[in-house]
Amino acid sequence: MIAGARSSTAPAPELLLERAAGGDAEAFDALIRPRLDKLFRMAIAITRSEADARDAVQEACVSAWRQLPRLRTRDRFDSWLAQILVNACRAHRRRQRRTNVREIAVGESDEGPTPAGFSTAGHGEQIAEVEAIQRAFERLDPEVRALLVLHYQEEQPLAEIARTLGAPVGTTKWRLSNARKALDRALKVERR
Amino acid sequence: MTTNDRDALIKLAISAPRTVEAPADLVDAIFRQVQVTKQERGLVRLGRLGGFPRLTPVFVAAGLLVLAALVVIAVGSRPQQRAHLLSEYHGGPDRTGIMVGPGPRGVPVLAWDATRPGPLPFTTMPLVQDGRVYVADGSGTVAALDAATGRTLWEHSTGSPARGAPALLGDLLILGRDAGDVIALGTADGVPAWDQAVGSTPITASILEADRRIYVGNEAGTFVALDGRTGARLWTVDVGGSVTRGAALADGVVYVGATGGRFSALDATTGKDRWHVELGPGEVGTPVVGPGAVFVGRGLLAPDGPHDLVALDRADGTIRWTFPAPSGRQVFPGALANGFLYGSRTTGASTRSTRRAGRSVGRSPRRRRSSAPSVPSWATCFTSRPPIASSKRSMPPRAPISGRSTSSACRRRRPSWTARCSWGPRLDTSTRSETRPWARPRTGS
Repeated sequence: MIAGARSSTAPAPELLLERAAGGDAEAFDALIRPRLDKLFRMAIAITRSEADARDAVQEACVSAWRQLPRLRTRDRFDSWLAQILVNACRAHRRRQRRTNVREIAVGESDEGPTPAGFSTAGHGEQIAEVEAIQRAFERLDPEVRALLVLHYQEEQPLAEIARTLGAPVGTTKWRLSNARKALDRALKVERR
Repeated sequence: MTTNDRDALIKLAISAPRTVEAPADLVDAIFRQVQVTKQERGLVRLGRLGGFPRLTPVFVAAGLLVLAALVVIAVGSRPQQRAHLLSEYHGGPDRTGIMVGPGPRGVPVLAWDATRPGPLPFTTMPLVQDGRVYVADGSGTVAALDAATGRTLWEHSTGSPARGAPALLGDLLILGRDAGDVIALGTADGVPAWDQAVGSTPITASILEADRRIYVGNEAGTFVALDGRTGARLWTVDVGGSVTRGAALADGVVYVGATGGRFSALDATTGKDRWHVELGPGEVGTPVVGPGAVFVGRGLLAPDGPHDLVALDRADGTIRWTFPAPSGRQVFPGALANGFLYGSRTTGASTRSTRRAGRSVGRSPRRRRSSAPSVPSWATCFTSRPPIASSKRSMPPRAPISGRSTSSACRRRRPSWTARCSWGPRLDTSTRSETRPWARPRTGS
């Protein structure tokens, strides 16, 4: 669940939601601002690109603004927003495929980045494993990535993931299992 | 390895670090877009979050009827244009070149053509607000045209040439003049509201407007901040050379270049110099401010010296990379979108073709030189959800035609080059060398 900071003087989220749904852009700004970092991290994890993440977050927020008056169950705003973001990441990825942009690598070392939380001494195997997982993850479809990000990064329970993805819990459980298997298969390819 | 260990490794591998934060300007970009986006207020509220209502036969029948009615309406009426707002040069204070869309689809058709008494150099551009187009030309005449028909609604002669782009602030149109002052005209009728002298030398740079303040410099190197509503001077600094191009602003910092190569970052509130760098001889182009870096062309109109595009760290002005142009040519950043910087550079070929077409480009006759740039120094990214733009949809407009303002100056032409401009969260920017020509230009492709 994406939780926003709330000070004693700031309007309650429910009030902000009501005002934003009524067309108050300032209220929407106050609603989105504390959630932006988390949305951005989620988008980066799914798209694997800061630029794409930026576009996806912006697209999602504008889409949320447009559709907000039609949101009836406002207590689920955060999972609704996450759902829009996941869809925006998918859509953005599809458009990226169509535009066929060739990116030119700049200045990245061949070894790639050192994963956060690891020192380079004595953890060589773990670092190699993490890098292999990263490369394998990038082979997956955005839909599968989104599922894994919601599970591993956001640590959402299964019911919450199901709500975010708009699918029944049973189906989501099955998809998560398949996503793990897909990651394993991609990992095997990476290790060859 | 246990399942828990493995899950921990996967979490570590795929998660974005907690230290990653959304770019500071993202929320502003969202807010700007939200302000020009209408909310959908349907009669039927969705029953499930983000999903579709339950499909009952009654609902399906009603939906089909509504769909049929919409088709009839769509076929029988002209498509409605969204309200456009283009209040200053390059789309906004950060000069990213992002315009509120939608842009032209397919090959644009000329809707109307209005002749203006003076030249329209590439350093200016028309502004759009509330169905009106505002044009200031080199003769000093300012006009409001009907955006749909091109009909002149009002015209006002300021008595002195205006060569930089004006800016809109609510119901005021603000422009700098060769006479050395900044004037504000009412958008309703063109009646002057205030007039503030900056100095005795011409003001040729575009007006920068942000947070109800006006920032502009003159050819003596005086750079001022004015209250946009009253014209009162807030602060004045000397930036060390003629200010011939517009400044840019983002996150409370004004970026301005001066002839001679000094490029300064000033505190927007006080005018205090946060940092400045020397970029070599020649003029410095209008900056484009991106996340983490500011992009600027240097060496403009200088016979020798570096002619390239420079990316400067916004924090301290450190040169992160440069993008060189062939000797004697110049590069102009135009639009920044989708992780790409779109721009143009001068070529001999385009100079010939431009002249053959009888079009006058570059500066006004007093300052025009044979080596003046023959391509526009700006590009446009039209988006329906700015600032998201596909690299294929982005098109730089043609050079403005002298003395004419057209409603569709953009043609299907590809940018001179595009370059990936972001370095992503996984790169250590501190280790990047000063000069890194990391992307090859894609001229004509």
